[in-house]
Amino acid sequence: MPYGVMALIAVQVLCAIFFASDIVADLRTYAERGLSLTYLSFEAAATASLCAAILFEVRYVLDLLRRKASLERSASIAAMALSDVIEAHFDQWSLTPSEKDVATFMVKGFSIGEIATLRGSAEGTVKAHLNAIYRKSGTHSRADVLSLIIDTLMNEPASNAA
Amino acid sequence: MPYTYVWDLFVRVFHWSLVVLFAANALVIDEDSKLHHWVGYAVVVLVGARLIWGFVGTRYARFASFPPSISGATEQLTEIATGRAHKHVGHTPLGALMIYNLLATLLLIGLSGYLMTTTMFWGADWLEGLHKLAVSWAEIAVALHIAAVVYESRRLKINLPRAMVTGYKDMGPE
Amino acid sequence: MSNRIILKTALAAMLTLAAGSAYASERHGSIDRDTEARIRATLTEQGYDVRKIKSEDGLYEAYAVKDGVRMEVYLDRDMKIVRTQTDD
Repeated sequence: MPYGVMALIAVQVLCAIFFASDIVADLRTYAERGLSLTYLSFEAAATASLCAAILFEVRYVLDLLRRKASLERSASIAAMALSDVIEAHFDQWSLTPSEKDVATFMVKGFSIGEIATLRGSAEGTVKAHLNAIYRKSGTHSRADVLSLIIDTLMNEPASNAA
Repeated sequence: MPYTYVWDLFVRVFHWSLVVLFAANALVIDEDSKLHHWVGYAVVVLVGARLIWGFVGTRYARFASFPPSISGATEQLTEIATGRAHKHVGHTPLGALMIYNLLATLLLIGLSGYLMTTTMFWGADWLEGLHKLAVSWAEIAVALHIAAVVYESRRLKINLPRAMVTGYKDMGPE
Repeated sequence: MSNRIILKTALAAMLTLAAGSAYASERHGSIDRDTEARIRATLTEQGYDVRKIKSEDGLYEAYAVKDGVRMEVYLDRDMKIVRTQTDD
Protein backbone atom coordinates (compact mmCIF):
# COMPACT_ATOMS: atom_id res chain seq x y z
CA MET A 1 0.00 0.00 0.00
CA PRO A 2 1.56 3.31 -1.07
CA TYR A 3 0.82 5.04 2.24
CA GLY A 4 4.21 6.78 2.19
CA VAL A 5 3.60 8.51 -1.13
CA MET A 6 0.03 9.33 -0.11
CA ALA A 7 1.29 11.01 3.05
CA LEU A 8 3.89 12.85 0.96
CA ILE A 9 1.15 14.06 -1.38
CA ALA A 10 -0.90 15.30 1.58
CA VAL A 11 2.04 17.27 2.98
CA GLN A 12 2.90 18.71 -0.43
CA VAL A 13 -0.70 19.77 -0.97
CA LEU A 14 -0.62 21.67 2.32
CA CYS A 15 2.65 23.32 1.26
CA ALA A 16 1.25 24.24 -2.13
CA ILE A 17 -1.85 25.77 -0.53
CA PHE A 18 0.33 27.76 1.86
CA PHE A 19 2.67 29.03 -0.88
CA ALA A 20 -0.14 29.84 -3.30
CA SER A 21 -2.08 31.81 -0.70
CA ASP A 22 1.11 33.68 0.16
CA ILE A 23 1.54 34.60 -3.51
CA VAL A 24 -2.05 35.82 -3.74
CA ALA A 25 -1.51 38.00 -0.69
CA ASP A 26 1.79 39.28 -2.11
CA LEU A 27 0.09 40.16 -5.38
CA ARG A 28 -2.20 42.51 -3.52
CA THR A 29 0.53 44.35 -1.64
CA TYR A 30 3.76 43.89 -3.58
CA ALA A 31 4.09 47.51 -4.67
CA GLU A 32 3.99 48.99 -1.20
CA ARG A 33 6.32 46.36 0.17
CA GLY A 34 8.99 46.74 -2.49
CA LEU A 35 8.73 43.28 -3.98
CA SER A 36 9.42 43.07 -7.70
CA LEU A 37 7.18 41.24 -10.12
CA THR A 38 10.22 39.19 -11.12
CA TYR A 39 10.47 37.90 -7.57
CA LEU A 40 6.80 37.06 -7.59
CA SER A 41 7.16 35.22 -10.90
CA PHE A 42 9.85 33.05 -9.36
CA GLU A 43 7.58 32.35 -6.40
CA ALA A 44 4.76 31.45 -8.76
CA ALA A 45 6.97 29.23 -10.92
CA ALA A 46 8.27 27.36 -7.88
CA THR A 47 4.75 26.79 -6.61
CA ALA A 48 3.58 25.68 -10.05
CA SER A 49 6.42 23.14 -10.16
CA LEU A 50 5.27 21.80 -6.82
CA CYS A 51 1.73 21.45 -8.18
CA ALA A 52 3.02 19.62 -11.25
CA ALA A 53 4.95 17.24 -9.00
CA ILE A 54 1.78 16.57 -7.01
CA LEU A 55 -0.16 15.77 -10.17
CA PHE A 56 2.50 13.25 -11.27
CA GLU A 57 2.50 11.65 -7.84
CA VAL A 58 -1.29 11.32 -7.84
CA ARG A 59 -1.15 9.60 -11.24
CA TYR A 60 1.60 7.33 -9.89
CA VAL A 61 -0.41 6.36 -6.80
CA LEU A 62 -3.57 5.65 -8.80
CA ASP A 63 -1.56 3.51 -11.22
CA LEU A 64 0.03 1.66 -8.28
CA LEU A 65 -3.39 1.00 -6.75
CA ARG A 66 -4.67 -0.23 -10.08
CA ARG A 67 -1.81 -2.70 -10.50
CA LYS A 68 -2.22 -3.85 -6.93
CA ALA A 69 -5.91 -4.48 -7.57
CA SER A 70 -5.10 -6.68 -10.56
CA LEU A 71 -2.69 -8.70 -8.40
CA GLU A 72 -5.36 -9.38 -5.77
CA ARG A 73 -4.58 -12.42 -3.70
CA SER A 74 -1.63 -13.51 -5.84
CA ALA A 75 1.77 -12.50 -4.52
CA SER A 76 4.06 -15.22 -5.89
CA ILE A 77 7.02 -14.19 -8.04
CA ALA A 78 5.54 -16.04 -10.99
CA ALA A 79 2.24 -14.25 -10.61
CA MET A 80 3.94 -10.84 -10.42
CA ALA A 81 6.07 -11.61 -13.49
CA LEU A 82 2.99 -12.67 -15.41
CA SER A 83 1.23 -9.52 -14.25
CA ASP A 84 4.10 -7.40 -15.58
CA VAL A 85 3.86 -9.03 -19.01
CA ILE A 86 0.11 -8.51 -19.06
CA GLU A 87 0.48 -4.87 -17.94
CA ALA A 88 3.03 -4.25 -20.67
CA HIS A 89 0.56 -5.49 -23.28
CA PHE A 90 -2.22 -3.33 -21.83
CA ASP A 91 0.01 -0.24 -21.97
CA GLN A 92 1.01 -1.06 -25.53
CA TRP A 93 -2.64 -1.25 -26.55
CA SER A 94 -3.41 2.08 -24.83
CA LEU A 95 -6.21 0.62 -22.75
CA THR A 96 -8.06 2.95 -20.38
CA PRO A 97 -8.03 2.12 -16.64
CA SER A 98 -11.51 0.62 -16.94
CA GLU A 99 -10.54 -1.45 -19.98
CA LYS A 100 -7.43 -2.68 -18.18
CA ASP A 101 -9.55 -3.75 -15.22
CA VAL A 102 -12.03 -5.62 -17.47
CA ALA A 103 -9.19 -7.20 -19.46
CA THR A 104 -7.55 -8.45 -16.25
CA PHE A 105 -10.77 -10.11 -15.14
CA MET A 106 -11.22 -11.58 -18.61
CA VAL A 107 -7.70 -13.05 -18.59
CA LYS A 108 -8.46 -14.57 -15.18
CA GLY A 109 -11.47 -16.31 -16.63
CA PHE A 110 -14.43 -14.38 -15.21
CA SER A 111 -17.68 -14.29 -17.14
CA ILE A 112 -19.30 -11.06 -18.34
CA GLY A 113 -21.90 -11.29 -15.57
CA GLU A 114 -19.23 -11.81 -12.92
CA ILE A 115 -17.15 -8.91 -14.25
CA ALA A 116 -20.21 -6.66 -14.13
CA THR A 117 -20.81 -7.52 -10.48
CA LEU A 118 -17.17 -7.11 -9.52
CA ARG A 119 -17.04 -3.67 -11.11
CA GLY A 120 -20.47 -2.44 -10.08
CA SER A 121 -21.43 -1.78 -13.70
CA ALA A 122 -23.99 -3.12 -16.18
CA GLU A 123 -23.26 -6.10 -18.47
CA GLY A 124 -23.71 -3.87 -21.49
CA THR A 125 -20.94 -1.62 -20.23
CA VAL A 126 -18.65 -4.63 -19.79
CA LYS A 127 -19.38 -5.79 -23.33
CA ALA A 128 -18.54 -2.34 -24.66
CA HIS A 129 -15.23 -2.45 -22.78
CA LEU A 130 -14.49 -5.91 -24.19
CA ASN A 131 -15.15 -4.70 -27.74
CA ALA A 132 -12.71 -1.87 -27.22
CA ILE A 133 -10.13 -4.30 -25.85
CA TYR A 134 -10.44 -6.60 -28.86
CA ARG A 135 -10.26 -3.68 -31.24
CA LYS A 136 -7.18 -2.13 -29.64
CA SER A 137 -5.36 -5.45 -29.35
CA GLY A 138 -6.30 -6.62 -32.81
CA THR A 139 -7.94 -9.79 -31.49
CA HIS A 140 -11.42 -11.33 -31.55
CA SER A 141 -11.60 -13.47 -28.43
CA ARG A 142 -10.25 -14.18 -24.97
CA ALA A 143 -8.24 -17.07 -26.41
CA ASP A 144 -6.52 -14.71 -28.87
CA VAL A 145 -5.58 -12.30 -26.09
CA LEU A 146 -4.21 -15.09 -23.90
CA SER A 147 -2.28 -16.44 -26.88
CA LEU A 148 -0.59 -13.07 -27.42
CA ILE A 149 0.41 -12.92 -23.77
CA ILE A 150 1.74 -16.48 -23.65
CA ASP A 151 3.72 -15.84 -26.84
CA THR A 152 5.51 -12.98 -25.10
CA LEU A 153 6.13 -15.14 -22.03
CA MET A 154 7.72 -17.83 -24.17
CA ASN A 155 9.71 -15.15 -25.96
CA GLU A 156 8.40 -15.97 -29.37
CA PRO A 157 7.24 -13.25 -31.74
CA ALA A 158 3.46 -13.14 -32.03
CA SER A 159 1.99 -14.40 -35.32
CA ASN A 160 0.42 -11.81 -37.63
CA ALA A 161 -2.64 -11.02 -35.57
CA ALA A 162 -2.76 -7.26 -35.99
CA MET B 1 -31.69 -1.29 -4.16
CA PRO B 2 -33.53 1.45 -6.07
CA TYR B 3 -34.80 4.46 -4.08
CA THR B 4 -33.25 4.23 -0.61
CA TYR B 5 -33.92 6.43 2.43
CA VAL B 6 -30.48 7.33 3.74
CA TRP B 7 -30.37 10.74 5.48
CA ASP B 8 -32.83 11.37 8.29
CA LEU B 9 -34.34 14.79 8.94
CA PHE B 10 -31.85 15.76 11.65
CA VAL B 11 -28.82 15.08 9.42
CA ARG B 12 -30.30 17.09 6.58
CA VAL B 13 -31.38 20.08 8.68
CA PHE B 14 -28.00 19.98 10.42
CA HIS B 15 -26.08 19.97 7.13
CA TRP B 16 -27.85 22.91 5.50
CA SER B 17 -28.10 24.98 8.69
CA LEU B 18 -24.35 24.65 8.96
CA VAL B 19 -23.95 25.81 5.36
CA VAL B 20 -26.00 28.95 6.02
CA LEU B 21 -24.45 29.79 9.40
CA PHE B 22 -20.87 29.18 8.33
CA ALA B 23 -21.28 31.14 5.10
CA ALA B 24 -22.91 33.98 7.01
CA ASN B 25 -20.14 34.22 9.60
CA ALA B 26 -17.28 33.72 7.17
CA LEU B 27 -18.50 35.97 4.36
CA VAL B 28 -21.21 38.37 5.46
CA ILE B 29 -21.37 39.14 9.16
CA ASP B 30 -19.05 41.80 10.58
CA GLU B 31 -16.44 39.99 12.65
CA ASP B 32 -16.51 42.73 15.30
CA SER B 33 -20.23 42.35 15.90
CA LYS B 34 -22.03 40.46 18.65
CA LEU B 35 -23.98 38.60 15.97
CA HIS B 36 -20.70 37.04 14.85
CA HIS B 37 -20.29 35.52 18.33
CA TRP B 38 -23.87 34.26 18.53
CA VAL B 39 -23.74 32.60 15.12
CA GLY B 40 -20.44 31.01 16.12
CA TYR B 41 -21.95 29.59 19.31
CA ALA B 42 -24.94 28.35 17.32
CA VAL B 43 -22.54 26.40 15.08
CA VAL B 44 -20.88 24.86 18.14
CA VAL B 45 -24.28 23.84 19.55
CA LEU B 46 -25.25 22.30 16.20
CA VAL B 47 -22.00 20.33 16.02
CA GLY B 48 -22.52 19.18 19.61
CA ALA B 49 -25.98 17.94 18.72
CA ARG B 50 -24.59 16.12 15.69
CA LEU B 51 -22.00 14.42 17.89
CA ILE B 52 -24.77 13.09 20.13
CA TRP B 53 -26.88 12.06 17.15
CA GLY B 54 -23.84 10.22 15.82
CA PHE B 55 -24.22 7.77 18.67
CA VAL B 56 -28.00 7.50 19.08
CA GLY B 57 -29.35 8.41 15.65
CA THR B 58 -30.53 6.42 12.65
CA ARG B 59 -28.29 3.88 10.95
CA TYR B 60 -26.45 6.02 8.42
CA ALA B 61 -26.23 8.96 10.83
CA ARG B 62 -24.20 6.97 13.31
CA PHE B 63 -20.43 7.37 13.26
CA ALA B 64 -20.18 3.57 13.46
CA SER B 65 -21.50 3.40 9.90
CA PHE B 66 -18.68 5.60 8.58
CA PRO B 67 -15.67 5.15 10.87
CA PRO B 68 -12.44 6.95 9.99
CA SER B 69 -10.53 4.35 7.98
CA ILE B 70 -7.33 4.78 5.98
CA SER B 71 -7.73 1.31 4.45
CA GLY B 72 -11.30 2.14 3.46
CA ALA B 73 -10.14 5.38 1.89
CA THR B 74 -7.42 3.51 -0.04
CA GLU B 75 -10.03 1.01 -1.24
CA GLN B 76 -12.13 3.88 -2.49
CA LEU B 77 -9.10 5.34 -4.30
CA THR B 78 -8.53 1.90 -5.86
CA GLU B 79 -12.12 1.95 -7.09
CA ILE B 80 -11.52 5.32 -8.69
CA ALA B 81 -8.21 4.13 -10.18
CA THR B 82 -9.75 1.02 -11.75
CA GLY B 83 -12.91 2.75 -12.94
CA ARG B 84 -15.12 0.58 -10.74
CA ALA B 85 -18.30 2.13 -9.38
CA HIS B 86 -19.75 0.30 -6.39
CA LYS B 87 -22.47 2.51 -5.03
CA HIS B 88 -22.27 3.36 -1.37
CA VAL B 89 -25.44 3.86 0.65
CA GLY B 90 -24.17 6.04 3.52
CA HIS B 91 -21.03 8.17 3.67
CA THR B 92 -18.00 6.82 1.78
CA PRO B 93 -14.64 6.44 3.58
CA LEU B 94 -13.21 9.59 1.96
CA GLY B 95 -16.43 11.42 2.72
CA ALA B 96 -16.14 10.27 6.32
CA LEU B 97 -12.62 11.72 6.63
CA MET B 98 -13.85 15.07 5.31
CA ILE B 99 -16.76 15.08 7.77
CA TYR B 100 -14.54 14.43 10.79
CA ASN B 101 -12.14 17.09 9.52
CA LEU B 102 -14.95 19.65 9.20
CA LEU B 103 -16.52 18.82 12.57
CA ALA B 104 -13.17 19.13 14.33
CA THR B 105 -12.28 22.35 12.50
CA LEU B 106 -15.62 23.97 13.32
CA LEU B 107 -15.17 23.10 16.98
CA LEU B 108 -11.67 24.57 16.90
CA ILE B 109 -13.01 27.75 15.31
CA GLY B 110 -15.73 28.02 17.94
CA LEU B 111 -13.39 27.29 20.84
CA SER B 112 -10.71 29.74 19.71
CA GLY B 113 -13.38 32.34 19.06
CA TYR B 114 -14.82 31.92 22.55
CA LEU B 115 -11.40 32.05 24.21
CA MET B 116 -10.75 35.36 22.49
CA THR B 117 -13.58 36.84 24.55
CA THR B 118 -12.15 35.77 27.89
CA THR B 119 -10.11 38.06 30.10
CA MET B 120 -7.25 35.59 30.23
CA PHE B 121 -6.75 35.55 26.46
CA TRP B 122 -7.98 39.06 25.68
CA GLY B 123 -5.79 40.53 22.93
CA ALA B 124 -3.81 37.31 22.40
CA ASP B 125 -2.43 37.55 18.87
CA TRP B 126 -1.65 33.85 18.52
CA LEU B 127 -5.25 32.95 19.34
CA GLU B 128 -6.64 35.31 16.73
CA GLY B 129 -4.16 33.89 14.24
CA LEU B 130 -5.26 30.36 15.09
CA HIS B 131 -8.92 31.35 14.70
CA LYS B 132 -8.33 32.86 11.28
CA LEU B 133 -6.13 29.98 10.16
CA ALA B 134 -8.83 27.48 11.16
CA VAL B 135 -11.40 29.49 9.21
CA SER B 136 -9.17 29.52 6.11
CA TRP B 137 -8.65 25.78 6.50
CA ALA B 138 -12.42 25.26 6.78
CA GLU B 139 -13.02 27.33 3.65
CA ILE B 140 -10.49 25.29 1.68
CA ALA B 141 -12.01 22.07 3.03
CA VAL B 142 -15.49 23.23 2.02
CA ALA B 143 -14.31 24.02 -1.52
CA LEU B 144 -12.71 20.58 -1.73
CA HIS B 145 -15.88 19.01 -0.26
CA ILE B 146 -18.06 20.61 -2.93
CA ALA B 147 -15.68 19.55 -5.70
CA ALA B 148 -15.58 16.00 -4.34
CA VAL B 149 -19.38 15.76 -4.07
CA VAL B 150 -19.73 16.90 -7.67
CA TYR B 151 -17.04 14.44 -8.81
CA GLU B 152 -18.53 11.48 -6.90
CA SER B 153 -22.03 12.31 -8.10
CA ARG B 154 -20.83 12.07 -11.68
CA ARG B 155 -18.68 8.99 -11.08
CA LEU B 156 -21.41 7.00 -9.30
CA LYS B 157 -24.30 8.56 -11.22
CA ILE B 158 -26.21 9.44 -8.04
CA ASN B 159 -27.44 12.99 -7.36
CA LEU B 160 -25.75 13.37 -3.97
CA PRO B 161 -26.72 17.01 -3.23
CA ARG B 162 -30.36 16.20 -3.91
CA ALA B 163 -30.08 13.18 -1.64
CA MET B 164 -28.97 15.49 1.18
CA VAL B 165 -32.14 17.54 0.61
CA THR B 166 -34.75 14.81 0.14
CA GLY B 167 -33.04 12.10 2.16
CA TYR B 168 -33.34 9.55 -0.65
CA LYS B 169 -30.55 8.17 -2.82
CA ASP B 170 -31.47 6.86 -6.26
CA MET B 171 -29.24 3.80 -6.30
CA GLY B 172 -30.28 2.67 -9.76
CA PRO B 173 -31.44 -0.80 -10.80
CA GLU B 174 -30.71 -3.78 -8.53
CA MET C 1 -9.49 9.50 -12.52
CA SER C 2 -8.45 11.34 -15.67
CA ASN C 3 -5.79 14.04 -15.67
CA ARG C 4 -8.32 16.72 -16.55
CA ILE C 5 -10.46 15.97 -13.52
CA ILE C 6 -7.47 16.00 -11.21
CA LEU C 7 -6.40 19.29 -12.75
CA LYS C 8 -9.85 20.84 -12.36
CA THR C 9 -10.13 19.79 -8.74
CA ALA C 10 -6.70 21.18 -8.03
CA LEU C 11 -7.53 24.49 -9.68
CA ALA C 12 -10.83 24.75 -7.83
CA ALA C 13 -9.09 24.20 -4.52
CA MET C 14 -6.30 26.65 -5.32
CA LEU C 15 -8.72 29.36 -6.38
CA THR C 16 -10.30 29.44 -2.95
CA LEU C 17 -6.97 30.48 -1.56
CA ALA C 18 -8.32 34.02 -1.51
CA ALA C 19 -9.40 32.84 1.90
CA GLY C 20 -5.86 32.03 2.80
CA SER C 21 -4.71 35.36 1.48
CA ALA C 22 -7.06 37.12 3.87
CA TYR C 23 -5.08 35.54 6.68
CA ALA C 24 -1.74 36.22 5.07
CA SER C 25 -2.45 39.91 4.51
CA GLU C 26 -2.69 40.54 8.24
CA ARG C 27 0.20 42.94 7.91
CA HIS C 28 -1.78 46.16 7.85
CA GLY C 29 -2.35 47.82 11.16
CA SER C 30 0.99 46.97 12.69
CA ILE C 31 3.18 49.74 14.08
CA ASP C 32 6.88 50.25 14.76
CA ARG C 33 8.46 49.13 18.01
CA ASP C 34 9.16 52.59 19.43
CA THR C 35 5.62 53.82 19.01
CA GLU C 36 4.32 50.60 20.49
CA ALA C 37 6.61 50.97 23.50
CA ARG C 38 5.42 54.53 24.07
CA ILE C 39 1.75 53.56 23.86
CA ARG C 40 2.33 50.65 26.20
CA ALA C 41 4.10 52.90 28.74
CA THR C 42 1.41 55.57 28.54
CA LEU C 43 -1.40 53.12 29.17
CA THR C 44 0.36 51.07 31.82
CA GLU C 45 0.91 54.31 33.78
CA GLN C 46 -2.86 54.81 33.74
CA GLY C 47 -3.52 51.38 35.19
CA TYR C 48 -4.13 49.36 32.03
CA ASP C 49 -2.85 45.81 31.52
CA VAL C 50 -1.93 46.15 27.84
CA ARG C 51 -2.28 43.02 25.69
CA LYS C 52 -2.06 44.02 22.06
CA ILE C 53 -1.55 47.22 20.07
CA LYS C 54 -2.33 47.96 16.45
CA SER C 55 -3.46 50.86 14.29
CA GLU C 56 -6.86 51.23 12.71
CA ASP C 57 -8.46 54.10 10.80
CA GLY C 58 -5.74 56.58 11.72
CA LEU C 59 -5.92 55.84 15.44
CA TYR C 60 -3.91 53.53 17.64
CA GLU C 61 -5.99 50.71 19.11
CA ALA C 62 -4.99 48.83 22.24
CA TYR C 63 -6.57 45.72 23.69
CA ALA C 64 -6.24 46.05 27.45
CA VAL C 65 -7.71 44.98 30.76
CA LYS C 66 -8.42 47.44 33.58
CA ASP C 67 -9.94 46.42 36.92
CA GLY C 68 -10.88 43.08 35.42
CA VAL C 69 -12.77 44.72 32.55
CA ARG C 70 -11.82 43.95 28.94
CA MET C 71 -11.46 47.11 26.88
CA GLU C 72 -10.43 48.53 23.56
CA VAL C 73 -8.62 51.84 24.03
CA TYR C 74 -8.19 54.23 21.11
CA LEU C 75 -5.42 56.86 21.10
CA ASP C 76 -4.59 59.64 18.67
CA ARG C 77 -1.11 60.53 17.37
CA ASP C 78 -0.44 62.58 20.52
CA MET C 79 -0.94 59.53 22.75
CA LYS C 80 -4.22 60.93 24.05
CA ILE C 81 -7.06 58.51 24.75
CA VAL C 82 -9.92 59.60 22.53
CA ARG C 83 -12.29 56.68 23.06
CA THR C 84 -12.70 53.53 25.09
CA GLN C 85 -14.97 50.60 24.50
CA THR C 86 -15.72 47.89 27.00
CA ASP C 87 -16.38 44.32 25.96
CA ASP C 88 -19.47 43.00 27.68
